[in-house]
Amino acid sequence: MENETIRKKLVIGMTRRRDWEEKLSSFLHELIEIFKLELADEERIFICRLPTIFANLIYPEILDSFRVEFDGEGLEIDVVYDPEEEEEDDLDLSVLSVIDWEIQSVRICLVTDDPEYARKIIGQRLEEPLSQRINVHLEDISGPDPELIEEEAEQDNDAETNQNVEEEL
Amino acid sequence: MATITKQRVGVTVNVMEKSVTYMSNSLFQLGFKITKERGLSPDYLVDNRDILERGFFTWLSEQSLLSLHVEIISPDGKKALERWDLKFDYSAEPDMRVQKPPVEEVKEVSRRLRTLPEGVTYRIVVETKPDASDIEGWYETDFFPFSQTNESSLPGWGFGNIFGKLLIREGSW
Repeated sequence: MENETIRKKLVIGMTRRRDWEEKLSSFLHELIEIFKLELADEERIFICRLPTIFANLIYPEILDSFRVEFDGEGLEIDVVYDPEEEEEDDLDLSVLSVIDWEIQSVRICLVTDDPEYARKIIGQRLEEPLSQRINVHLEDISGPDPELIEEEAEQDNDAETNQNVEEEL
Repeated sequence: MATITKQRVGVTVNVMEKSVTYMSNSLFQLGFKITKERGLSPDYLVDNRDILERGFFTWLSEQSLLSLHVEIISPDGKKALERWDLKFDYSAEPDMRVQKPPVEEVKEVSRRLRTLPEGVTYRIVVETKPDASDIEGWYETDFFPFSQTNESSLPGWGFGNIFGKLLIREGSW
């Protein structure tokens, strides 16, 4: 496997919540199996409850995607609310079949355009302490503040200029 | 001839099922949007999700859901301060255009409304036809007293056989 994010998609459209939950549940359990993770009881319970948490963010359409990060690799699943007519789910995990080792840790990032409200909806349901191996986080879709990136770039340029000046001196 | 009839029935059932799902999902979407924009907790919707879903799916399927109301209740629990009324129309001939629920308009309207006082609560009330099925978790109730001062309406939405309209009723307090 190359070190890049694999993109998948979950199509919502005119389907029912139980369908999303069933698909997500199968997807997560397949992942756990591929990762060869021996789950403790509380981890197993948590994984079982995750689809319900996801569904609560899908109803208000604030879950943009979710990313599964493991051992330096990434799998990003886009949530498609308004699919094209023939657009279908793509949750096939056969690309991960090359994994023949036990994954050490799994981080699931829920990418949302409204992290503040997402946090209100999921509340304690997400932030309950879990193991070191499996963790779930919320992530703002907008990513880091562009102004901050610009400032950092300027600082880098300044540092580089200073270094050049010092070298010349 | 019989085959054609069967196919037509099949398609109609499928559209009806999609109409019900689309409307039910959009009721949750609007419910979350309204409560968010009015500064209310989403807990009621999350905690009662299964009960609400059962009601929506059953009554939309039997076309007995007449209206749904988000009733915002005063801190002393004696009257309604605001009501978001959703009314439903059912048509025999499906309209295959998808019309999205007015979530952006909810945000716009909410900006113009008075800020709600601390301590308000809300609940979902529905009006159904007399022959509607009984659903566990739902009980008979009356609206809280409400003194309306203003009313505005938002664009309709829906798909197939079921369409909705949303009215915002402001009250005095």
